This record gives sequence, structure tokens and C-alpha cells, in this order.
Amino acid sequence: MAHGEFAADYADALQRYVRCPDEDGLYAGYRLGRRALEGQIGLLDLLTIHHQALEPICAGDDLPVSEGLALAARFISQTLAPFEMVHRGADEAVMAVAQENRHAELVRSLSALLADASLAHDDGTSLAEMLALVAEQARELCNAECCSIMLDGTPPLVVWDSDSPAEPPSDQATEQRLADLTTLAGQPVGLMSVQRGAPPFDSREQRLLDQVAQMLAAALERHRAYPR
Amino acid sequence: MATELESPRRVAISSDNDIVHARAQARDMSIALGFSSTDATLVATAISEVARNLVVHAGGGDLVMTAVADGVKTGLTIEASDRGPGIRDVEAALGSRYTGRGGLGLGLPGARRLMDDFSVDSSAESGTVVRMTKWRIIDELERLRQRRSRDGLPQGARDGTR
Repeated sequence: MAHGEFAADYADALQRYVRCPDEDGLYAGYRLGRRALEGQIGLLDLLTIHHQALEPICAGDDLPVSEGLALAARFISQTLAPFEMVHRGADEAVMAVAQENRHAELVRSLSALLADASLAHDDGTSLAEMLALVAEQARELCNAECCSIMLDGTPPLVVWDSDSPAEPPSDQATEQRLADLTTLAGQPVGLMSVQRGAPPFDSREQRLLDQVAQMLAAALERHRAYPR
Repeated sequence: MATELESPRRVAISSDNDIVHARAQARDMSIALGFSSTDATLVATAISEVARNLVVHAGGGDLVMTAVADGVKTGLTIEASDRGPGIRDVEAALGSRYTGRGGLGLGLPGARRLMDDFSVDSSAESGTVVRMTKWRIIDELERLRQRRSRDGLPQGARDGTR
């Protein structure tokens, strides 16, 4: 988009709004903000264009300068609102990337630990420790309040977030996701579940739970294949 | 649980003129609820985004705006509904994976980021309902004034200046 054309349209719309300050004028400002984003006009360009458009308003004698400036400020606030949306989206994306990196690191650590532990543990106590660690990591990865691991023929192991109540109120609805523990040959050996009050788990959290369940199932399979 | 402070206002949306009307209504309600002018602008912007979606993707729909209160909060709830084809993957349409509008983060994700509460129900059979709320916390002094005003105490007694 040519900046000159946009600048002329912006100046026209601003002058119209200052002459007749109504919602139509603010909507025009919002649409110009969207147009600037789509035309890759940056914030600094926009501020320069706004400043240039202010000059005739300040030079005119239709209304006091302070009143003209106040109306112009309302207009550019509305023009900048679409930029605010994009700015918040960028913040959200940065936080999401940081979280993804942290999750990737947790999964890598867990994978390394299971590769060692699956062959090293030699009694029920160390198996329980390994399961507790996996449950704690899965709970953290999925941002859950509780994680349970149920292996065939053993009592369930349940790990709670230390900040959560030990037992949720019975009338409180809980969100739950499950993942099967299945060997490479497709034999079921147990089940993992995570739960929390709200919000519902999303598909990314389900994928993380599935990934941890696959790693745990593989570790259990190795453990059973190479008993001490 | 939020309670309605007044009857909801409904605006049928099928054109830019309707969007302007809805924005004006929402701005009036925001100011009456004590929102800052910045928050009123953000609400008007979120309304513009969901209303544009109604026009572009569903050929039109309805906006219902309701002033609500919930404990120490007061807010403006906006419900946008249409009978369009629905959104196939709501989670994707609201998240960063979505690349509609050139991936700028406008549209529904943009509106979500400007509001405090945001939810979408969508199906191919019944269309889409977007529900969003902007909240404002009422501070202790304001609550006291409201209570005294409701109780009908004289101005001097309200201010404690008599």
C-alpha cells in the first residue's frame, strides 16, 4: 500500500471526525487501523501520519486547539486498537514458545530418565519411585491438578499438585483426559489420567499426555523384558 | 453467577451501518458501567471483530449486549450468534495456529485477547455463538457509595461530611 494514499485517507477521516465526532468516525478510525496492519504500515509511520494530519486541525479556528487534540486522541486510540490486538497476540506467542521450550526440555529429561530407570530398577520400590516421577512430570506438563497411573494388577498411583486441595469437592466438575499404556505390540498394560477443575484440556495437552504414556509404556516393556 | 443489571440490548447485524450502531450502544453501556475510555474502545473493537465475522462468514447474525454484575465485578457481556456453517475447528480458530486474515491475529483471536472471558460454541447444524465479557472491579469505596445510594441516605450522611 502506498503510504501517501493511506496518509490522505487518514487525514480526511480524522478531519471528518473532529468536525463531527460520532461512532461512524471512530469506526472509520478502526478500519484505518486494520488497513494499516494489512498494508504493513508500522506504528512509527502511523504516528508520523497522525502528526501531519493534526497540523491543519491545530491551525484552523473552527474549535479550540485543546478540543481538537482531545478528539484526535480518541480517533487515534481507535486506530491503534487493532495494533493492540496484534501486540497482545505477539506477547501470547512469545509465552507459548517459552512454554513449548520448557515442555520439550521436560520431555527430553523424562525420556533420558526412563531409558536409564527402565533397566536399572530391580524391585517394587524403585518402580513406584519411577511411576511417581512420571506422574509428577505428566501432571506438570499437562498443567493438571492430579495425575494417576493404573498398571494392571497393582493399586493406582495418584500424584496431586501440592497447591491443590488433597481431594476436590465432590460437587465440583472435573476435566479429565486419559491415555492408554500400550506396548509396541499393542498389548494394554495400564492407563494414565490427568484431571483438573477447569479449563478443559486442549489437544496440545492431550498430545503431551500421549507422549509421556508412550515413553512410560516402552520403559515398562523394557523392564519386563530384562528382569533382574 | 452473574446477574443482569438491565434488559439486554439486541442489534441485528448485516452491514457496516449495523456494526456502527452496535459499537455506539456498547460504548454507551461501557461508559454507564464506569469503564475507562480505553476499555470502552477495546470493547468497541472486539465487537467490530466479531460483527465483521458475522457479516463475512455467516451473512449476518445478532449481537446481544447485557450489563451484568457478579460480586465485586460489573461487566458487559456480548453474545454474537449466527446460523452460518459453523467453525470446523474452534480451538484452532482461537489459537496461534490459526492463520486467517494473513496470520495477523485479528478476528476471533484478536477479540479474545481484548476481552476477559471468551467462549465459542459452534456446530454445522446450529451455527456459532460467541460469548465474551469485559469486567471491571468495583472498589470498596464505590461499593459503599452504591449501598448508601440504594439505602436512600442523605448526601451529607453518604459523604460523612455533615
